[in-house]
Amino acid sequence: MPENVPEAGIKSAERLAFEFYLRTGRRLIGAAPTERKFNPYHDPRNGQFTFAPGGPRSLADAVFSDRQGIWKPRGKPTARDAFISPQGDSPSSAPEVSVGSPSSAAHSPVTLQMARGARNPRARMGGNGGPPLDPLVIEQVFPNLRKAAAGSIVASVDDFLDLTGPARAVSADLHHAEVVKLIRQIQTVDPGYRFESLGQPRTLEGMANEIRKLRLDRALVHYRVRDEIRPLQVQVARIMQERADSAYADAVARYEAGQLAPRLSREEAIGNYIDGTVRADLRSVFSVHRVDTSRGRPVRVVGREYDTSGNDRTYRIPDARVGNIAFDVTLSRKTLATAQVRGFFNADFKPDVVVIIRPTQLGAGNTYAIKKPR
Amino acid sequence: MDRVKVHYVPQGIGEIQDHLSMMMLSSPQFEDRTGLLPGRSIDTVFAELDDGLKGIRKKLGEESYLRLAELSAQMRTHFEADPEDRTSDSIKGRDCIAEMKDILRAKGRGKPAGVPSEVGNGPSLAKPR
Repeated sequence: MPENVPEAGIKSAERLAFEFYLRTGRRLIGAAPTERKFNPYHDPRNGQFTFAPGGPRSLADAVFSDRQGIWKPRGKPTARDAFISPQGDSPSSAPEVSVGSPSSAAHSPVTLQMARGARNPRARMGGNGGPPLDPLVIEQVFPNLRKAAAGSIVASVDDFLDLTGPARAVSADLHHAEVVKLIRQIQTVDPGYRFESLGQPRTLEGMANEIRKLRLDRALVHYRVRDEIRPLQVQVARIMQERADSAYADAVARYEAGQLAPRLSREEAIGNYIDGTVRADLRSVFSVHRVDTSRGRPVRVVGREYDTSGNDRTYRIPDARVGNIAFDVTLSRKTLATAQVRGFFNADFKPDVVVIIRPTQLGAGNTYAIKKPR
Repeated sequence: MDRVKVHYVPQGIGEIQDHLSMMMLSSPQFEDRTGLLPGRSIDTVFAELDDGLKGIRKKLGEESYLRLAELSAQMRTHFEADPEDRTSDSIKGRDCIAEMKDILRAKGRGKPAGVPSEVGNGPSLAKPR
């Protein structure tokens, strides 16, 4: 008997049916396999539909099929390896799970992968599809700023902070992917960069803090290495907005508890404490990250900005200045009709934009940019 | 005792006022929830406040400085007695902040309350200082 003829005991049903057809010229009734419609996204355990990898529902149910193997983890080391972990525990890759009976697994193992947190390829970003999730320049925070007429007010995109976006996905892997991306971006500019971490954060707050820290590091690396200040402008806007939101909530609670004595009005009492808190925190953040905010530097916190165009030089004091952008935290709505804003534009550093930051709790259009008038 | 590692020592009356505003809203624990100021605690914020006051001791005058230092110590005692913000101690601590701000306001430029501080006239061009 030739060696290449398989034994009958291990012939497939299709092979046996074909041999029967050759011998008899008749087809076996009922031997044809059940016809199935093709669906690349189904759970091989039960054949039920699942969702495409990367889609929003794939995060809720992290098991999905991957017949084409396009979502397999890469074998290359990731930028996460750049972590300095005192415990020495490196982040683990996504676990793989084999399912099915042992015998079937031996012949055709089905490998399931946890969701990798890759961006949804179908999601629209930028252009007509909406703002980027992680803006790097102020024009992405205020999308119409470039085209806006001189002196016009440009609203910020919704939720431009997006600080907890990746963390909100309740996916450690998605957070990990964001962290790796940020570290790679930083190391592109500064190859010697090392991110000090005490290990994978386990809480939502910890994940958000890690991303917040990396975004600030990325902006600072751009500023120091490439003398590129625009990413820092975005991060300063984010920090100030976040602090203003938090301070507003605290100040309202204190005021309603009768612990903030008003001198002129409720808004004045609350506003003063918010301003002071944002400025104090911003000074501390710059100090901790060794950003020089002394006079003459492009980054200032509550620094006098002089206007020497007239006979008597005057000054205005924006809450912060980063490059050619002045930032002001306020409760009231300020426009070009406000003398203070006009004063900012008249200052010697000639800002292109004044960003007015108001607490998010005040409603839509809280934070906006005013473009330089002609 | 090891010296507390501070983040930033406020310089001048205006920055100390800002620091007190931050203390008012983040008391009694003073923890940073954003991760950008790691290690911020009651120890660091009071070390920063006390160092800031020392830096303007001359400008304040001895009497005012001693009163402010005393209020700072009282405030800390109150906040330490009520870290969960459940008793009247935290309220007393915030009363100390309000009193300190009043003293500093009076020691400032003598501006009446409510006048914005972000505008002013610089020294004359003819007589630069």
